[in-house]
Amino acid sequence: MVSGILNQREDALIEIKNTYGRLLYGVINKILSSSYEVLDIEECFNDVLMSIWGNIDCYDETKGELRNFLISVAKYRALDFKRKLSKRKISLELNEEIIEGTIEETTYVDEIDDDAFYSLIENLKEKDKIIFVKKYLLDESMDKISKDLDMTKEAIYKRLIRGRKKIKEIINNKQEG
Amino acid sequence: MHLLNESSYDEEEISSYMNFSDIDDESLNRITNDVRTQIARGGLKKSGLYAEGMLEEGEVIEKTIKGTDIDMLEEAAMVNMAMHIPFMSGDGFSFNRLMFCTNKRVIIISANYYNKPLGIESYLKEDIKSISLGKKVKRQYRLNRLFKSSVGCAEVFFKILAGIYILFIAGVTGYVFAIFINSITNSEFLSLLSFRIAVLAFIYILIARPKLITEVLLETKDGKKYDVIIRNQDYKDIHKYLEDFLYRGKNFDR
Repeated sequence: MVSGILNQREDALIEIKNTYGRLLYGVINKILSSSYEVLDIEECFNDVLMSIWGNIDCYDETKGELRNFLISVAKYRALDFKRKLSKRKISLELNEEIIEGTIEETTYVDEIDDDAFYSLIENLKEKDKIIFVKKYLLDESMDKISKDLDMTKEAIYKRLIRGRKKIKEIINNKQEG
Repeated sequence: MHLLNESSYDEEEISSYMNFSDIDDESLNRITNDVRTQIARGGLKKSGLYAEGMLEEGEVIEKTIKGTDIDMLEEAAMVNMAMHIPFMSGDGFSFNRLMFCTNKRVIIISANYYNKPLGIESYLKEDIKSISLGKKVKRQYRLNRLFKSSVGCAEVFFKILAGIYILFIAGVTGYVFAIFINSITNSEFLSLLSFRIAVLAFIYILIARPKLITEVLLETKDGKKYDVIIRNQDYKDIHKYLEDFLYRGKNFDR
């Protein structure tokens, strides 16, 4: 299936639809159903399929099943769709750790869009990037992140704190620059 | 996107998603077809940009023509009749011919079903022998292409496969016709004759391709032929444009 999409075979998309179509629709519907019309959900489903077609080369079979990757893409797109329609942005919760004193005057950008999010986490370690994506883009619970990455919740919290600190430094440097 | 790899979902979560999958087949197919159209449009746009990049100074694209190679279309249909496999839609087979007609030449991009460019040729007006349209296209014979042009081994194999299937159908048709004649005339000679006539007529109909209203045959002086069905809705407009394409000056009033 993956090689079919990479080679742009006509039947590849049909195969995805037949094998995972309903599951992906279910993911999107579960995330969006409470507040959105069927047309919006279908539009999001369209975006998910286009996303899969254009980014299938990002799938790494050594890291997990294709099904799980596709579900993650659908979740990400649905949550992104929800944020865009409600005009909300990604909240990085940076203000939780504002240190009093010397940096009182500094305002940390707390809500950011996708492009800014990716550019900010770019400087983090690979594992930290994955944690940030799971927490802030896929809106996953700490229990789930801990289970997926086989790490304790404490370890994940520490990485989140370290990551946020690094992001604040980057923002600070940009503002000074 | 590569950061979305390391996730796992247990059966309970998958079940919870499936409980929300209340979409009917018709809607699922409709959305998938919309996506396929979008992908093809994206491919066409990319090919257009590529063609634009080839333009010389003073050269402009006057018409963009999307055509489907008739031979490939027929072969795909024949193979699909013989065996139900998706065929010739990707993986290096040129299904579409995207023709970008400029004031100086024709840029022809061979592309797959999704308009992904697979090859590119360009012919100046003086290198084109003739362009015939619709019913004026001279009679094309399907076997000519097999014997005269250079075709890949896979293509030859599928043509032979399709040919065997067609010969079988021709034989069955002739046999049925012969039985019918025999039942009326009670003459073995006439039934044998009618069998042969039916088979030969059937084979001729298959070999001699009928002319199509939207057909365009472009022949170059180096012996190449591009025989396509125009997919643009305004094919009459395209025909009108191509009628005097070779003789028109540099300015074209769109």
